[in-house]
Formats: sequence, structure tokens, C-alpha cells
Amino acid sequence: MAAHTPASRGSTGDVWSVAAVRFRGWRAGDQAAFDDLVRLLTPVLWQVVRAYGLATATAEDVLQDTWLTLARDPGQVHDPEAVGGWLLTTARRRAWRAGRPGRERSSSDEDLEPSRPSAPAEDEMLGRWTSRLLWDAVADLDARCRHLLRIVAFDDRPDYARIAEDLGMPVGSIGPTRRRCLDKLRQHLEGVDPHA
Amino acid sequence: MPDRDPLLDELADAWQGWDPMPADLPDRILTAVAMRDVDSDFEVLTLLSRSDSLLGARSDADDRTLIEFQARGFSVLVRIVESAPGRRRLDGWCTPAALVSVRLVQDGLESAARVVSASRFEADDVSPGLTHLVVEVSDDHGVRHFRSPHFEI
Repeated sequence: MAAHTPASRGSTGDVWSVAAVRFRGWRAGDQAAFDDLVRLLTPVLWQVVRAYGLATATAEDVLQDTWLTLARDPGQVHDPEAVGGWLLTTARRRAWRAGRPGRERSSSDEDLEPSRPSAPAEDEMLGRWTSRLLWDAVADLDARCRHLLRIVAFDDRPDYARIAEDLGMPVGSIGPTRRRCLDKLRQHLEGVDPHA
Repeated sequence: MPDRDPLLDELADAWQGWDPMPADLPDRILTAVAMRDVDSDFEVLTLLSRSDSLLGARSDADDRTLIEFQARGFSVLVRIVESAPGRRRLDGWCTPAALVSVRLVQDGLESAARVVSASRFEADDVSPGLTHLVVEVSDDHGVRHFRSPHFEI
């Protein structure tokens, strides 16, 4: 598995560096550091797993399984700096397996359709655009774009080969597709009809 | 990442609001991990039988409960009587005779039972309530730890 450090978020701080510190602490015998690690990264892992269209209960099982795998054998992570990448890749693989045809999925297309933003969350999300505008723009993307952007939003160096396999796309097309999806989103936000 | 599109950061923030993780999920995960630790360190005793006898409706001394637990190659029989109003006495028998220690755990607090012999233990003056046993034995299989399910005494 590639050792990499996923992107940091401006709004959540450099969670990946903090994760590496917590992981080191846990390996040195500080059990509370493991609790901190779970609380720190589960919200991010949730986003990646849900991008695979899993129902809530299945997504929860996938994440629990992912953390149990780490707890059983933390030696799988050779470099503490890579603990975030290891967790993301492990969760994504399990999510993909759990989301294959025939497995339980969310009852609607809620997995790839963003939920309607609630008022309190909306207040927190005001940036260059309102949450509502962004929501509309994301909803206007096709499912493949939404899936891809949701993953790269939380890990901008994901395993492209794996994602290509998940989406049934050539690995060489992931980068261009990502750019095209972002362009479409930006055009929509800037009032340009991408379908025109 | 120098070339990371800032729009991705906005998307990340937005998605966390649109589809937030269930708030109690980290706690449930930590509980599952803790239970895994318990399971790996202890062999679990299962309840084989429980008999609550009220043989002497007019004689408290005859009121007793017998509970039998079993795990791989190990059995425990516990007898519980009311030793004084609101107090309990436990007598335990184990087979094979390889007892090292027995602890009673109630509401997170542990107390040691007295190991009378390699096959017997006892505990006087125990409070009623939900209890489980942690038993350490040493035999041909080495040192083993057993944990009973909770039971009411």
C-alpha cells in the first residue's frame, strides 16, 4: 500500500499530521491516543465510505471493521505518517466490496446525492458560495463525478488504480475526469451552463 | 499539495454538513474495539444452568442459587446464599482443580474471593447486584483467564 499523506483541510486543520502523532502515542502505550485517533479520523472515513453508496448501517460496519483491523495489528502501518492513508485505503477497499451489486445499498440514491443541507450546517458552510449553490451544483453532476470528487475531496492522492477499477474506467482517465468534473462544478457555480 | 484545487476543500466542508457521520459512531467503534480486547484476553465462560431454590420459605438459610458455568475444559459451580439481610455469600467449586485466583466484579469494582484450595473459593459479605467472575487457573494448558457473563446475586 502506498504510504502517503492525504490532503489537509483548511477547515479541519491538518488532521493527518495530528493523526500521525496520535498513532505514535498509541504505539508507545497511550490507549487514550487511540481513542483520539478514532474520533479524529472517523468523520473523514465516513465521507469516503459513503461515496460508495453504502447504506448507513453498512457504512458503519465497514468503518468498525476497518478500525478493528488496525487495532488487531497496528504493525501493518510501518510509517506513522501514513496511518491516514492506510485507513483511507483500507476503508475504501472494504466499502467497494460491500457496495458491489447484490449487496445492501442505500434505499435511494442518497449515497451519491447530497442530502439537503440543514440550516445550522448551512451557517457553517458559508464560503465563497452558499451551501445551497454548491449543493445545487454538486447535484447537477453525474453520479461518477460526485463519487470521484467526494473521494478526492478527502484524499487527494487516492489509489487511482483502485478507483478506476471501482468506476470501470481506465486508470489514465481518472486525472482528466477529475479535472473535467471540477470544471463542470466551477462553471455551474459561475453561472455557466455546462450543458450548453 | 501545491496543486490542490481549493474547490475540493469547500466540497469537503460541505459534504460533512450534508451527510454527517452519526455522532455516536466513534463511541460505538471504541466499544467494539474494547470488546475485542476482552475477548482476546479472556476465555468466555458460558452459563450452563441456574437454579433458584426457595426450599425453605420459612427458613432463609435454605434459600440458595446454584449457577454453573463452563468453558473449554473448565467448569465452575457457584452457590449463593443470603448470609445476612442484604448480604450474600458465595461458595465456588472448580474442575479441574487448578485455581489461582478469583475476582468478583460489580459495577466496575473488583474484589478478590478467598481461594480455599485449588478447587474451591469463597467470598463473604458480598453486596447483591449484577456480578461477573474473573477466574485465573494454571494447569497443563498454562495460565488461562476466564470471564463469566454477568449474573444477578
